[in-house]
Amino acid sequence: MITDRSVPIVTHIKGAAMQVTLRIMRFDPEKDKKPVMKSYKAEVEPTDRVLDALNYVKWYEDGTLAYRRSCAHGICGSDAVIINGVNRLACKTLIQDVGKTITIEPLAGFKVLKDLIVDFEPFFEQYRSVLPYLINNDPKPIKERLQSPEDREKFDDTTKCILCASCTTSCPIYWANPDYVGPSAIVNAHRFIFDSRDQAAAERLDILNTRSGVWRCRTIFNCTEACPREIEVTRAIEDVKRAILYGES
Amino acid sequence: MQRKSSKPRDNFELRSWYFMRVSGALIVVLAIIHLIYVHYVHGVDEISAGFIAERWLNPTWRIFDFVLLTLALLHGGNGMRILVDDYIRPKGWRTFALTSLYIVVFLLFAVGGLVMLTYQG
Repeated sequence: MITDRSVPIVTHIKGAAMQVTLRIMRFDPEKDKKPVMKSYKAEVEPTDRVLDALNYVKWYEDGTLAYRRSCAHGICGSDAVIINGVNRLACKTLIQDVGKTITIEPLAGFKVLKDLIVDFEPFFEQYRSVLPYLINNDPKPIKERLQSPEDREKFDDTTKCILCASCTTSCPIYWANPDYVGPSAIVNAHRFIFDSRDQAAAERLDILNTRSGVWRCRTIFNCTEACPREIEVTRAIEDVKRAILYGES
Repeated sequence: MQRKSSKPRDNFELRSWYFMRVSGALIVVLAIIHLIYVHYVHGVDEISAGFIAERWLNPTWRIFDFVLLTLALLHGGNGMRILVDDYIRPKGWRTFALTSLYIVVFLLFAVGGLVMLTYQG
């Protein structure tokens, strides 16, 4: 039972349906030289999310555990971690889908700041490098900029990105080569390259037509499997390659 | 109106990517012909310098072998260049690896090409 009223009210109180073992990769930069795996028990319902189990550990077992979370509903993209070897959002992954022993590690390819928190700055730098915003130098229209449903359809899939970095950190090329712009940045470039209202497609294609751009992709498909929003990431990358090759957008 | 790009396009990586697709497809065809001819039609027991000498009396086989050698070296060499770029991150080691790679590819091409084009039987 919760006796301390300062603790947030949660659905998974002690005495819940099942007990799971969480193996969490811990790293405190002030104490540890290397990350260490620590085990915790958590009482959860099978229909709880992995995020609930992490909350359980933080609130009842070890308050020093550090991880990011915000909306907790698969929209903000804060809590992407590696769960049993697969990049997933902790808030969208149900306990019943991952078993009773759950291994949780920080995303690969980024510097770990503490426990499950990684440094996203290189990721956002790559994101900013592809000009991920509408560029249109025509005089502002009085109302909205109109677009046909067919034109909207061309980039519909890539509007779903939440910048959780699951795709980029599942890419073996990105692990080895941090210069690679990464699947997520290409997805966000795709969103504007194929937007009929945008006028900077050529600039973005030039940015991606470089040594560190789309040509580094080896069509491994890890990104597509990792995406919690089910974006067809590899297809988007191929669309951009084709646009560069055939000069279309 | 589409905004024009500010600088001329550097299409080397695009050409490299495209070359890998085309050369890869060609190599599959050429390598299968090579395998069928050498291992199935004749068999490895027959392979000797004499066998090659006889085959090279026909210029078509010389051209075939030269094209296969060139494509294989360029395709393999370019693949290795991309792997070195990805996996050898210290700049000094990367330059060393790339230089070594280019030298090996050039030597193999020079020796193989010289033999194929000048062999007199």
